[in-house]
Amino acid sequence: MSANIYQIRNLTKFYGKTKALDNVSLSLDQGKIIGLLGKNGAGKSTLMRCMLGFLAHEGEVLLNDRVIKHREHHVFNQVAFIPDVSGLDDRLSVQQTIDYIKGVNPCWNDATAEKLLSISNLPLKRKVGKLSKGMKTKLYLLITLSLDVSFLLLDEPTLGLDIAFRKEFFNTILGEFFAENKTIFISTHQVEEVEDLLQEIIIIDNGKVILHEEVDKLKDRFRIVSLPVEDASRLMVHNPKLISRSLGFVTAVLPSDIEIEGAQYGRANLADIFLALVGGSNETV
Amino acid sequence: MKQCKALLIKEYRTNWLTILTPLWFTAGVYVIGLAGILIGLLKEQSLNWAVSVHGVPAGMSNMILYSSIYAMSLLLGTVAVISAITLADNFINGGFKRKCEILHLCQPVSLTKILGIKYLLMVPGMILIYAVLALFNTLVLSGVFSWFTPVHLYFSLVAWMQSVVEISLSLVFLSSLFWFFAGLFRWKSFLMGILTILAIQAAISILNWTAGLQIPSLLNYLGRLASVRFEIHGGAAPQMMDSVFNLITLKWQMICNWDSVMKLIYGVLFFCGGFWLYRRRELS
Repeated sequence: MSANIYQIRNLTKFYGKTKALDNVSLSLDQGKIIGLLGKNGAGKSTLMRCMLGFLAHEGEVLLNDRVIKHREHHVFNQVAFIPDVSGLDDRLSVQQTIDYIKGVNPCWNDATAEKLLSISNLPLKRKVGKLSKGMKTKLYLLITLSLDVSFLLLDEPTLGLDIAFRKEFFNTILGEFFAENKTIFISTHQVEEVEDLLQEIIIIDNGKVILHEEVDKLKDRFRIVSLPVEDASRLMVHNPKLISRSLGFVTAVLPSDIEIEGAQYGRANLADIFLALVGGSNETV
Repeated sequence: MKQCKALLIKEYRTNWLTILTPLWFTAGVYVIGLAGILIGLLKEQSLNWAVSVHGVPAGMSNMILYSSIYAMSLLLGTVAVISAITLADNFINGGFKRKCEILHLCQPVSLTKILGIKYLLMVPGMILIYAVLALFNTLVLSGVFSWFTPVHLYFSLVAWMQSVVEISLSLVFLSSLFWFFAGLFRWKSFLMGILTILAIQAAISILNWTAGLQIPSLLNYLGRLASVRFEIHGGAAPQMMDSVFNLITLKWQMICNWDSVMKLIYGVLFFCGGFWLYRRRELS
């Protein structure tokens, strides 16, 4: 049985009068790869920053049964974080950045760092400011994966990177970081790319967690249902949040227990299910 | 200790241009001075064209030497104070402005260590750089003086020491004040700090004017604490020519007063205030 490494209880966060997180409660287990999905502004980054103690909030966030206080540095003995922006110091060179993290972070693992460095082709003497976006992400990944921590938080880490690099990024994380005693919590818009990696999924909308479930179970609970356009009304009676029309068919994602005579069924992917649950920019109803 | 060393090196590497501003200033002055001499020599002028101190009494020479070194050190000290004020904003808000604050604050290092190292570089570090450069200038200027007229090195070193103590006190006060403002304002902290002081002064003036109160001027008080005074009254000068010691004693009396103690106390308070404000900040 896996242990809860992170526990979030009744987490609420306001930005002025705007409620960014609304009474969020979650338990994140050890040894899992967990995805966090949500539209822009749903509260994903806010949730991650609350988990790191960066934001003041109502409710509690516990790491290994210990409450995380605002701006508490002990969190980072167990947790590493890659934000959505490069976030490196442009004034330092690659080597200086590595030396700095090695000096300040007792979790630094020299062997892992050397291994990652040997396959990264990073120009050690070049200033970070002169690196490409891909190189910067590679460096951020190197300094993060070289830390012996049990929890890795990734907030849209591959934003703006090309598909080949995104693939390499996730392969590196899986190969070099993930183990039975480690947890990865990742928020991303590229659901299709991480779909096969994820074991659990959390969907957040308007600051509320609307779903937290194992990916396999979730995929069994929903399926794609297609009917000819003239039979659309038989689909609409089930109030799907999102429908699409193409080639004379109308399609929606519905719970698997709904049977419609004459309909064709298909396996839904995470993106389909996400859109079915929170609605989307396609043809909403 | 390993963390402190890494933080110190990182702060130096990211702010070395500002930290070494007094060095750039000094080097600039020397380059301009040497260029002037070189041009003079190329025009076949004697080096004495600019310096003519023959026949000046020994007491007067020492007075001129003391005053010159004091004035030179104050000029360099002003540059050091401006650099320290710039560093205050760079250290507190630099990471935020460059979007790398999260990287630095995602390490298991206490804020006390992080801010302590920054303050160490901003105040004792800047004072050390200033003191060393001022000492170098003192020795160079004393050497130049002694080339033309007999002078005593004692007066040079006392002028150096007094100016370093006085500038250091002002540096502690002013850099800590703007450290506090940097903690209070993420953007344009210097300007916002000045505007805050002016707003408080305006409020005091309005209160004094409308309610007939006698609240002392904040601007005058801050000006008194921030400034470094060097006065040789025209009438007193002739008596002091033979006794530079009087001037030195007078200067020590001016340095060792309550204002100096208050500068140190305010320095500690503003450091703590800036620390508290920075700790309360949210990172996004």
